[in-house]
Amino acid sequence: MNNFFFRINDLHAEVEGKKILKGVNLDLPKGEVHAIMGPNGSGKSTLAQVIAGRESYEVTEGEILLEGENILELSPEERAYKGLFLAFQYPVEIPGVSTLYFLKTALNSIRKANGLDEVDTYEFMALAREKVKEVGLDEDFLKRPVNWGFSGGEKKRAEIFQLLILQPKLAILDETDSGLDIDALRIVAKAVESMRSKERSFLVITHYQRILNYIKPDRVHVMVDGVIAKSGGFDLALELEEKGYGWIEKELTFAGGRDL
Amino acid sequence: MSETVRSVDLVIDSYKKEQLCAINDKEKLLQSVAAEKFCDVGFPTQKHEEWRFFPLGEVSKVVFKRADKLKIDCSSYREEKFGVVFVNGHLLEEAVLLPEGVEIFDTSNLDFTPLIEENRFAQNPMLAFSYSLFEKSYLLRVDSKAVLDSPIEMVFVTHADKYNFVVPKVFVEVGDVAEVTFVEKHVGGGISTLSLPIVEVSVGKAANVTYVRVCDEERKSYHFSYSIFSVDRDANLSAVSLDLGSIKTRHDLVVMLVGEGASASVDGVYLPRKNDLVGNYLLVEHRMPHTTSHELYKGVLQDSARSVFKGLIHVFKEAQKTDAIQENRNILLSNEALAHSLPQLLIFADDVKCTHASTIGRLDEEAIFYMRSRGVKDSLARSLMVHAFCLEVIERVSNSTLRNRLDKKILSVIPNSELIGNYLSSEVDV
Ligand SMILES: Nc1ncnc2c1ncn2[C@@H]1O[C@H](COP(=O)(O)OP(=O)(O)O)[C@@H](O)[C@H]1O
Ligand SMILES: [Mg+2]
Repeated sequence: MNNFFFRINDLHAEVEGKKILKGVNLDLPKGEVHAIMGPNGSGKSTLAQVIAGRESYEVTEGEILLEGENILELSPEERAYKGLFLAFQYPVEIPGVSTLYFLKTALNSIRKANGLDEVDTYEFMALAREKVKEVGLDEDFLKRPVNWGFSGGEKKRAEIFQLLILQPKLAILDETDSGLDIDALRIVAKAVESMRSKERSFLVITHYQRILNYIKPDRVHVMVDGVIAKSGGFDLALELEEKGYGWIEKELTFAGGRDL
Repeated sequence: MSETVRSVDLVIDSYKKEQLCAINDKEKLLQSVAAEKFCDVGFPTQKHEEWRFFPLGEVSKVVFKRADKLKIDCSSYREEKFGVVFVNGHLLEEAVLLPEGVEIFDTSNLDFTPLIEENRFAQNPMLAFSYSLFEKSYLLRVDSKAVLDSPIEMVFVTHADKYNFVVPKVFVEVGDVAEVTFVEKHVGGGISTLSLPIVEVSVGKAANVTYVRVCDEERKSYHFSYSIFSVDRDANLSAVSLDLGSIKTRHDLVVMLVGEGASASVDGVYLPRKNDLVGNYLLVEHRMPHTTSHELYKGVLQDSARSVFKGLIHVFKEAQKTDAIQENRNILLSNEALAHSLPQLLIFADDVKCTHASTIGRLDEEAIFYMRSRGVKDSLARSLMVHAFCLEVIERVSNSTLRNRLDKKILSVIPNSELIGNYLSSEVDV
């Protein structure tokens, strides 16, 4: 009997024959916040996208278990129904599809799949108005096409807005902090903190330690060249901030690239 | 070849018959030129640049017969309050309902100047064919300064047997400073019927015209429309065309900007599927200075559908300060679909701003994944994107009732669109 909430076992993934994830192992208990840090190109976004079900990456080995179920068999939408949410590093612009319609459809699809009643347009509007304020965006955003013409910062806030609406069990934030000024960062962090609960886990992918001052992680993992090369407490984030990633890469080389 | 000869005979016979008395002298004269031209050159073949991707197939191999004049009940085709109905090219008198300031006549005793001139027959042999065959011609007139809130609908019904042809012909004259919306709708048809409508629209000075054209004939029918617009000084034309596809649907559209400050937006959506072939051939002529044209044609192709977009912006030497944009965007939903996109510029003035762009691509898989990762089903995500792609054009129609009608027609051919629900009406003011 496996009572872990979210667990990745020996995950290997590649794209067009290029190996990117080379045996990722991770345990994320319910209610905890874990950070994944690591240099550019180490495979953090690939990991996030594979968890969410992006089909362009081929998983060649391993499993991803959410509440004991291997979600690799599931479509991206089915994973969303199970309570998974990925805030994209580069949120996609969708011309012509209004944010309001899209998000209401998303919410109701998830509710329906979980045997809950759909919310009507008025209930949804009330919810959306409340949440859009929390991330400091204007109500006008709801009418605009999804991410269409948004600035980088607006896109990141809009991702958090969607997160607040959809209330997932497991939220993965892929560099949501990158490119945000300190005010926007505080807003984002506050919204995430407000959602922190015993029932919800977060995987915060970041390149910088900065955001972790606001969203204090229970554990920090370092990804290097497609594997989790080191794990530790919050102190590890501070150490990385000070020393950079080079020393871990070296340790990894000394250890033959595995099993530190 | 011998069939072309027989079609030539048809043209000559038809022309000789004195049954053509219902049309006006100027048109009669033009008709003789058209008949001569067609007898001279015959049907266009794929050797013609304009017909390279548009083979005529049996249209040029079978001798079609003129469809009969009929009286039928067309009420089911009517959607707007005001309008007229033509059945096989004949006005259905009892179905005429027009507001004050709008009238319809047959052209026999009228003095007016046709927009189609002789040189158009050499440009387009198919027009020479259709022009030599019409036997009724109408003029729909909107008074100067008339401001009409309700659209005027012109329904063209083809009610005919296999290998029958119809040639409806209308001249629409919009007086100076008038404001009006037209809906030109082509419906009916059947297996291998051939519709050859000819429409001329003259937009008076400072008038404001929205002109919506919907081609929604039976799927096995042949449809070759020729439309020509002239837009006078400071007038504005907004033309929106919707082709729902048939075995062969072709629209040749000429827009002449003939007065300073005239502007036109010329937009369209085509949605061919199965074995459809849809062609849109546009010619925008900037004849005077300070004229503006924006063209946006968008196509969504399913199954083994094919499409051709050919757009030519022709800037005359006099037309300094022309501002012209032409855009053609295509989405292929299947590996078998094939879109041709041929934007062209022909510029004789030196101080102009002209651009064109064309794309043929697929749905953005990253956007699909993004939506799916938030719980939106794959099939819905796809139809949402296709629908949004088409909406950009439809949104240019400001009358909301009409816009919703066009939207419904588009939804009726988008795969899985029933999942979308009532998209436009789900928009709530925030
Ligand atoms: N779709 C793809 N096609 C080709 N290479 C890719 C693709 N996605 C990621 N990669 C490569 O995989 C490596 C890891 O990328 P990524 O997961 O984006 O890293 P990170 O998010 O840690 O910066 C990089 O070398 C990147 O170029
Ligand atoms: Mg990344």
